[in-house]
Amino acid sequence: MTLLIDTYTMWLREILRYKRNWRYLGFQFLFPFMIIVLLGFGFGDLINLGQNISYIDFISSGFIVFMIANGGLGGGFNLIEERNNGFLREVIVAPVSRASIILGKIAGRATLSTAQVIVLVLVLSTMANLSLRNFHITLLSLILMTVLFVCVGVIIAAYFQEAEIYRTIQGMVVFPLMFISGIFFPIDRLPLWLKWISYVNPITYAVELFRFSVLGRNTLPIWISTTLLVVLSTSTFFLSVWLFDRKFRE
Amino acid sequence: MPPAIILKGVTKRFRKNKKEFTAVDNISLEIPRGKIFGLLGPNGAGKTTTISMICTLLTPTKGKILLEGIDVTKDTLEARKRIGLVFQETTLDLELTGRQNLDFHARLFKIDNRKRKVDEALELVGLTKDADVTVRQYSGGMKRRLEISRAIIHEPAMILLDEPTLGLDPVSRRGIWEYINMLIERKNVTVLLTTHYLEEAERLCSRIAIIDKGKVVVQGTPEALKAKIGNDIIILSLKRDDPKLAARLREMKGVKRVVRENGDLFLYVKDVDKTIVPLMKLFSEAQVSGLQIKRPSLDDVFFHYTGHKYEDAAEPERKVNA
Repeated sequence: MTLLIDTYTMWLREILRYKRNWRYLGFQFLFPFMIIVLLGFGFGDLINLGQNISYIDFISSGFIVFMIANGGLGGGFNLIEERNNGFLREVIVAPVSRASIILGKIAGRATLSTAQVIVLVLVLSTMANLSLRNFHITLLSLILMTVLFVCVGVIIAAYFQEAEIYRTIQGMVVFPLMFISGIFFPIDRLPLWLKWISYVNPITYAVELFRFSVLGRNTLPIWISTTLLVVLSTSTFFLSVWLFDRKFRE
Repeated sequence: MPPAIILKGVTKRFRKNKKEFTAVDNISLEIPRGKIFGLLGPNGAGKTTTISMICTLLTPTKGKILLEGIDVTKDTLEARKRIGLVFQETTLDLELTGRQNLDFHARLFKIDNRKRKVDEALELVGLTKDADVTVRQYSGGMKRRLEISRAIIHEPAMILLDEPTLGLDPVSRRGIWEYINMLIERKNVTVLLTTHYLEEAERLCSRIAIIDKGKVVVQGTPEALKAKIGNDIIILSLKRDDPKLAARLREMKGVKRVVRENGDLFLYVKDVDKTIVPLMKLFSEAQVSGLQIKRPSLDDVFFHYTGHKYEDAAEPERKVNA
């Protein structure tokens, strides 16, 4: 019970911060829309995916995953900032469990992502074949992704103090993984060795599940993607809570 | 009543670049209830490390810390509920308003009548008018006041203040002192504060412990500490250094100690009224250019117990003639 109350408190603060920052919020909706439209119509004629699917359908469902994943990592980045500007101490010395601190970050991020997904899918449905028909699956994939990426962010933040290093890791590890996850192009056309990397890449399964929910398309059985994501996100969650307690105190 | 805070042989060692470094070295203290207790010492003496261990941010390498009988390393959550904290650097959320910061804190501590308590706390430190302004726009003094009000909102038994007036101008500093005194009067809490300002310790604290290089050098009431080193000090400014004069003064009745520094002689005497007349006979106008009488300050106490001047504490190697 106290875990829920504390998570709510942490969530409330995240929401208050979003509400006070209109420019940031606007950017969160405008940026993905802009990229999807530019990529979708820019590459639309060059890329033939066959199977009655246009590139704008493909990239819009993929880039929303990119956006959710990046936002989640931003949650971890946030902890570095909060540690550096001192605020984290206020939370750490309060009588609240470490799990609720991370759950609050996840909940805050998931709320923003849900709003983003609803608005983007509704707007994009005028120019692509997206829909919110399977909203329960959309929500499930969104939550699993947010848990996974916020916790990966926390784990990175636990080991590095500087915002620059965090950005480097984001650029050198996370972005390349996004490229071979089926966000920007289908993985079945990749060379075999890259295909194998993409199968050990968790983002691949996030893309699979999300794309299935908004577009009704999947290349792997859905139960495989779902199970893998559940296992991955819960284990990174427990790892991040454990690390948070050890690394953020001293 | 048992003391509010007990430290028993508390030690903290850090490993830095494979070298061990002892920040706090076997400190034992008892901090009585309902008083302002000061940890006084120069920068790097181990004050912040001590506070961090009491508030569970650091775990002691050795020793025990009890808050009203609660072991902080064993019952961490219970200990945290009993402490209000003001850190050296701000821990406020600058993007939120003053009121939102307090509300967040009140929720973290799950207190009843949240809204009323927040209003009261804001009122107490005179921030009601600016409660709905983002903290980013607050001045340094306002932020510190907000942090003090936040520290008391969950009605802790003790408040730990780490350098509460660091970086504030003299006017804001006086304001913060007033608020701290008010806390003691109205809320009946125990206050433990660290400071490297001697004046602050002298003005606020009813008991102080002087810390130097991780160790408690001496502790007691400011008055008692001052009385220990002699009631008064006579400073003679010499025209030129004169060891013979110093030797003669040392043998005088009522003189406890003579210290030579930079051509001045510091005489620690029991009673200046009884010493001054016989003293005048011992030197001529040709030798002495000035005479000053001073009641001892904590600065002198620090000097007496550590053998180095307070401002020089960062470079303890320096030898002082005595």
